[in-house]
Amino acid sequence: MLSRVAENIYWMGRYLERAENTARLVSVTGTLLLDQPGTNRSHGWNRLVTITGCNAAFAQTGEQPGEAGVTRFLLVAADNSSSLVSSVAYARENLRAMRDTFPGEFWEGINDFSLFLREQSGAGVEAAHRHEFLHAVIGRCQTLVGILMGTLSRGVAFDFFSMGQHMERADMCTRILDVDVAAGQPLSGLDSLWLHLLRSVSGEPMYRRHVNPRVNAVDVVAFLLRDRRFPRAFNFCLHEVERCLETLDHNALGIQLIKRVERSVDTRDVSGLIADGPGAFMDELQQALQRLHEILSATYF
Amino acid sequence: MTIAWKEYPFTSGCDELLTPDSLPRSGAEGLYRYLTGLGMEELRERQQAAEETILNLGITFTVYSQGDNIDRAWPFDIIPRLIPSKEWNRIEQGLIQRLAALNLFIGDVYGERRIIRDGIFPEEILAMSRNFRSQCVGMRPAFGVWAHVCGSDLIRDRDGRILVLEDNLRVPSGVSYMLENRLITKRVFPELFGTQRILPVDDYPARLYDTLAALAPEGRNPPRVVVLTPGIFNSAYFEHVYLAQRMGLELVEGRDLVVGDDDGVFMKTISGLQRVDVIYRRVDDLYLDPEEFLSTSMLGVPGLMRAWRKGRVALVNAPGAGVADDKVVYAYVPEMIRYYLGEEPILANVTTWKCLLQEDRRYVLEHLDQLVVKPANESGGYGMLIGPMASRAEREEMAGRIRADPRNYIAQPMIALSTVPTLTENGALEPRHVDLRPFILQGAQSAVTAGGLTRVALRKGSLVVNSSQGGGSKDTWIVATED
Repeated sequence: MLSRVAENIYWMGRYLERAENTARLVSVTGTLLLDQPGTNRSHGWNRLVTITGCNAAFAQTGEQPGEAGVTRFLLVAADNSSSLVSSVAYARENLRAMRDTFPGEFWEGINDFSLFLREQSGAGVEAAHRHEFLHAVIGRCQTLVGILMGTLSRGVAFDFFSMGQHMERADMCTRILDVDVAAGQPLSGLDSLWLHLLRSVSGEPMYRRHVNPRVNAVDVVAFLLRDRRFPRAFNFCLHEVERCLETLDHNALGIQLIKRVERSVDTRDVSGLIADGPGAFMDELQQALQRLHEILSATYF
Repeated sequence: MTIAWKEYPFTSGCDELLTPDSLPRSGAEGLYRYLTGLGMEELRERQQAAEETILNLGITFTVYSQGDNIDRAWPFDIIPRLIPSKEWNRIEQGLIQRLAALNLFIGDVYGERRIIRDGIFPEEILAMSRNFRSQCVGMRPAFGVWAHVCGSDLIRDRDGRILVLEDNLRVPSGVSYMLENRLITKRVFPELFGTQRILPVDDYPARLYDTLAALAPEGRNPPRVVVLTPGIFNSAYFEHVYLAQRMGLELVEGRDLVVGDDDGVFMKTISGLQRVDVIYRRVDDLYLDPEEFLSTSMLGVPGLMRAWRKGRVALVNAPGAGVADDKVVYAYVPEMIRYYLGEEPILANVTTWKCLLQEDRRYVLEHLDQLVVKPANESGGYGMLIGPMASRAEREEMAGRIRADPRNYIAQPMIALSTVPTLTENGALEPRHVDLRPFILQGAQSAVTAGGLTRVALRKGSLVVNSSQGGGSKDTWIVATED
């Protein structure tokens, strides 16, 4: 496979995943803030910009901090290259350059998604319609991935898509853990914070069934970092990247790095992590992902 | 409602399907009977079905408008254009003959220049040619062939003669639409393919692949052949994807290729660099290699010309082949055929006055109000004067330009293009003007598509068949006749 095509597919996976994660993040923040009476809600929204690593870009757009400015920036801003609308537009552009590699329904689906965003994205900024809009966005992302699951042959194209998707997902996992734990002021009780965290990744039923019917900080953080069965947990994502790499040549460096990171996640003392604030460790994981991306890029693209 | 052939509003051009007394021409009897049996109502329904098929299959072409590019559905008319095989066989021979002479000419121009020494072709035309590439002098590509893929535009005049209007030797496009048109027609008129002997067109991708593969240097077997596209913003991108897919080849862009220290060409893949032997390039000469042509080109591959000259890679069409794709050079093709092949041309040119020659120039200047004047190197109708429709001021301006730069202009008579019955927007059946672009391959062997792409000017009275300017297309049938 051409390097350019592989890179296009990898990024398409990342963009689609980023679109879904952005929708999840905005959705969960909105609900969480409603449950924290008395706190400065604007502050809660502004932290989202920090989580996504977009402080500088946000300052440049001239948007006002606060709910309206932040949701506009994260969902519809064309000048934010990581916004929901931009992510879908990039995914579509990438696909356009390699339509022949993918099933027709996938192209139709992504086209339809773009049209939907063109008509409806305004609703994401209005608090009253936001939930419905974000729900539809998440559903469309899942449908698109579902089409690939059901129609794309398992091979190099599928693996590069999956690597992009899971790299992005692992990255987002470290970002939500970082912020939410740090922001967890026990005003309304921590439990509600952990619950929201689980819900943001649709992980509540899996956690209750497989880990603990009761929600508590240590178990939730350990679940989101280490679980090997839950598809949005950090180590699950890394493991999927590893699985894809195993089918490719020249994979030694990447696999070595993944194994090292998985081990450090597995052996980390979670209660200590929560007590000290997870910021430093999450930074470390993000840097490891960045290194892994650089290895993929240098080897295959 | 049946079809009122008697009320068919003939134009001054000759009709491809009907004789002037509204009867079917030879070979078209079956189609005529069939259409009459369907009736207008059913015909309109089938047209609609065809349009839906096109949307569903995503057959598009790209229109540029103010920096944006828009994919539009391919405009298609369901009533086919039909040529009896007996007439077609002669056209086919004529096209093969013509491309053979053109290739000998291109090789001669970059080689010994016998045709100039022998006084058949004026050197000054070459000196001013915009498509002459000095980088190609002395090259001898395999089989002596420079233009492996040629799209020639044919028209039929009022007397029913088929004439060559131009030869596209650079990166001719349209063949994918010819193939798609047939696919759609088979879905819309399946009954007809059972009773008529319509020659298939579907073998083009296989023939093109054979032509390409036979050019691999150093006998590498199997050779690696790729299609080089300028990218998704090119108006023919659909076709590049289509041909790559149909031939099972990698579709590459300039940035996917690199020229190695051994002057071989490689493509960058996830398992490292892989050697490339033949490049079917759909990128214009000037963008091919920033080291030798436009240094700002982002579409090309640095060092590609060096690799080609050293024989490490084959380029199709060869760089420099466009020297024969010039309206003044065109005027000399009949002489080339006589000079190189010692044969009479099977297909005639449109009568062409070369302003370069004093006598011709005088005639052109005196008859500007009756002639079409064209600049040598423009395409798409730019810089053209249509005498009978031009104002006095426009004609005088053109006269001035001809006097200043006579080499750059030719003139031709106004030609009433032939017509084919076409469904109009309001559902009537009316004549619309057409041309025909067959595709000719030359390499180890020569081949011509059975028919080609019939382009039709969908606007009433219009002679412009370009898809970007209100043109559409039709399926073209070569029908086997008894004799």
